[in-house]
Amino acid sequence: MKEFLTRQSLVLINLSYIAIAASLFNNINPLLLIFGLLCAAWRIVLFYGRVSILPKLLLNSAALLSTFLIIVLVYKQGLFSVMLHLILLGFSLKFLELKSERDVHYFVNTGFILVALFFIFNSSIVTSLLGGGLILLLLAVLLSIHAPHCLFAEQSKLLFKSAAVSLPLAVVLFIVIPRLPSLWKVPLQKQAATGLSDSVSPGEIAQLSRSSELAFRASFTGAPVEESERYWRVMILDAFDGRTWSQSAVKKEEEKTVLNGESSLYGLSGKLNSYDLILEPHYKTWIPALDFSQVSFSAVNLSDYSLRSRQPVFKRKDFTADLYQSVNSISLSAERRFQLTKLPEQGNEKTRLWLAAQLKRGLSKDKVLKLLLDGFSAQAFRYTLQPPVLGAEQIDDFLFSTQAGFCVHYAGAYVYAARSLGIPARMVTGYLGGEWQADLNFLTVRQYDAHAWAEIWQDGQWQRVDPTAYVAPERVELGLEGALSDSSEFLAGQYLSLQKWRHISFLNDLRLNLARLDYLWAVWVINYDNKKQLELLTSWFAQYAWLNMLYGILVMMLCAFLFVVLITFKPWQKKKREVEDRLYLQLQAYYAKLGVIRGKGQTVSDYAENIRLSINRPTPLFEKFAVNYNRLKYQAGLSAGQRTKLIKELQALSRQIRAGKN
Amino acid sequence: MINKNYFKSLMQTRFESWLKRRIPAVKTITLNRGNTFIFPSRAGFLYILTVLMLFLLGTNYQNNLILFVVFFLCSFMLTCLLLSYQNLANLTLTANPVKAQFAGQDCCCSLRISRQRGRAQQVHYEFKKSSSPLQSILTEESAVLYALSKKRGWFEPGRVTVSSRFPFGLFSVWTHIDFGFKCLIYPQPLEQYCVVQTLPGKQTNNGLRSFDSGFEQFAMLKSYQPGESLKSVAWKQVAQGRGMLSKQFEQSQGGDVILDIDDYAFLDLEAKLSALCYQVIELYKNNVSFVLKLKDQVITAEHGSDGKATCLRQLALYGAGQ
Repeated sequence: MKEFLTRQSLVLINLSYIAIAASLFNNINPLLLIFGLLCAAWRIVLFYGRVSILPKLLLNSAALLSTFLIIVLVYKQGLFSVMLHLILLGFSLKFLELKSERDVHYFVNTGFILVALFFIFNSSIVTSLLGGGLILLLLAVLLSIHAPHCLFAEQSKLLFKSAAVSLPLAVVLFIVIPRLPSLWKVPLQKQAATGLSDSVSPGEIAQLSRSSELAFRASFTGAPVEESERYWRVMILDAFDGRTWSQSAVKKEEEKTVLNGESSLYGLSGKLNSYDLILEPHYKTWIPALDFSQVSFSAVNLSDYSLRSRQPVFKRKDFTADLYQSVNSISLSAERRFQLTKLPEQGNEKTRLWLAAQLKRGLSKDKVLKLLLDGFSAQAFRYTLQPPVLGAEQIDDFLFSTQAGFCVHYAGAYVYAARSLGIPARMVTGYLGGEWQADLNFLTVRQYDAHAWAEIWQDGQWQRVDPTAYVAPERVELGLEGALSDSSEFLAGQYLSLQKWRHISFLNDLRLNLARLDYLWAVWVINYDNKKQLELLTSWFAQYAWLNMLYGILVMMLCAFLFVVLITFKPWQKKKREVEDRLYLQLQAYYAKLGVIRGKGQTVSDYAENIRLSINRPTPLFEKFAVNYNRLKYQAGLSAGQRTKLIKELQALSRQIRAGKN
Repeated sequence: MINKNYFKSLMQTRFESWLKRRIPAVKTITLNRGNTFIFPSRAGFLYILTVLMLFLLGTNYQNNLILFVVFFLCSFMLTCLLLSYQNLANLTLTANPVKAQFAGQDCCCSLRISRQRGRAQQVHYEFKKSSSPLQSILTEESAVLYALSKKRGWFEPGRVTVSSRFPFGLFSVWTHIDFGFKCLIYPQPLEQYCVVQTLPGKQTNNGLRSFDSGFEQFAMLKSYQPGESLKSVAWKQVAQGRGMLSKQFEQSQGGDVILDIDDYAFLDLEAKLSALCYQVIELYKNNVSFVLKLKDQVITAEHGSDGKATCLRQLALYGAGQ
């Protein structure tokens, strides 16, 4: 086979292949990646002529086999994943048979689609730039194929120039073209959910606290909510099996109804504020909510005041929620009360005994709980993300021997105690606090802000109690880093994270600027929708008078253009040709085919002469036609009858001539 | 099937006549908006299809980044349109005169390429109706195109297609230019039909003077007859693989060689002319004077290549009614 690729295009193709495969690294099966790398290596060896091209049969059977394998391997991950893998497989296989320019074009176009899929998973500003780079790389492949004689410098100049020239129009289109709603339901990637899950055992939140990944951002229309009130409710855990806090069957049932969009109705009153949330994708439906919030559409309320999105959040998404002061009290059914006071029959005897002893001393239940909280702050309890391991009797071990732990331990112990006393209680997981960026007016909440607290049923409504606040009030006021006495625990193992180095002012500035940029990106690019579009355009038109003028001028010019076009072409009065003219035109077309074209301004008699000379024999029929035509056109005083007769004759002549009888 | 072919040929003739009006024959042309065509190439359509798919993907997943990619790619295609046109625009092509050629050999039609600013990249030049297997040769300032005809007479290779898919292959820009190339095709020289005409002993009035005197004059080649002296064998021709031929020499000075078409009565017309053509070439090579008789035309050979060209021209156009 003649090698049609230049060395340069081969390098570019390999580079773009590897870059695209690497960018999808997180979402694809490593086996496929290895297969792809083998393909790339083989293609390079082929270029140097060490191996020959694979026979078609082998190639086809390899394609079939690998398709089958891939489907078997990723079948469980859902349709989306199968689609992604198959496209990538096709991309890899195309690599093996790059035999012509056309193959390269297929390769590049598949690359575009893979980059688009990359954008489904990644939407931060950095990854977007990366994706843009991939697109440029693919275009460079095309350029290297079609301009092989250009120098590298010329090629890059041309590429960047054309990309730069294309950019403004793309931006304008992006801003002004209205967005369509989803045309049909699409399969989603089954992705390991990030962030909080629907059950909590003490290890989990500690795990999250090691991650500086962004969870969500919030901005307030009014004044930002006070630090001590920034409890972002995500989930209620109301069942305890002695080790793990999880959702009871009733709660799970309620979560399921969310998918049908059924909202729990409870009266909210006293609107305080409203806030915008930009949620990072977590592939679940929860929306962090302050007490008490409501999102008007695209989300529903659960009876426990938390919010759920109607659809899993699989990309950065924004929600607008209204914040209310209070909620109408509701009654607790006996069934729910039973569930909310349920504990394992056995275990944690020390705690139970201690509680019983306090009650015996004549203290009220509330007082006992208060005593417990005071104990957290007064005694030797400490707040740490790396607590000693607890035994089978978790609560006992924590309260009476280790006395070290973090939010889940404290909240768990508190809820356990409340339930032991017969007070309905539940654990709430969510996020606490966040980093306030005053200049941009938004709050950044990261995974390490994950928190757990307790709620107890008192006076016909749920009261929030945060036992952690007693042992480490700084956790509420200053955030996680402030609460940890040993700062090396903060983001342990995350040396590359800028969060870790926030005490270095230069790095901190950099980090804050990046965060700001990414926030704007999320607000204005990722979540730019029809509503924002309308707002933006209206505000522009209101702000800049010249834009109005420009628009007006454009519209006027368009109208003028249309008017001129209409006046020039007069489509409403398309001139009807006379019969004789039509016949004459037909004959002209006929003779033009024989090679005699009527010159401009040539009379019918001249034309007849011309024809006679050209075809080199007499043309009596056409000459007769010419005479009749002239009579019809120029003889004065023809009667209507004569006209019809002449026209009939012309028609007959034309028929005969065109039948070749001349 | 017949209908389809008929339709196709009808379209062809329509297109040709339209083209004739649109881009009439010229010697030199500068490409501009009026005489170039531009249309998405196959790859361009593939690209459009991909963009459409990306649009569906972006809309269905409500993903603004994908939509931005869609808008960018659309805008990029538009840029490509301009770049592709710019690449060919203002290119001036001038046709050089074409030299005559023998039938069955490739005629060289050359174009001079010039441009005021910059140079056009990746431009292909070829005849619209390709007749020669040879590829065009391209240098910075000229292009040489090959055309081949097996028929003698005037040969018109037709329109030249100038095309380019620079820079991204998404558009092809092309034009069909009629440079009015007209190439004189001589008959193909064929040596196997050498016929000897008995030469008149004396110089006649319509004869020639011999080109040089004092030597035995070579007259012509004829097929070798067994028994002839081996000295008279034209070894050069044998070595060229043309078979055994013997040289005929004039015994007396001033003896004329007459090439008469009527001597080849046993051949059909084209073969006659081919044989004559070969004889003419050989005679000129050997500096022999001769007279070419083509029915009522009698051409007296003159010195030099002009004379040869005249003879060959007559052979080429014999019976063409010019």
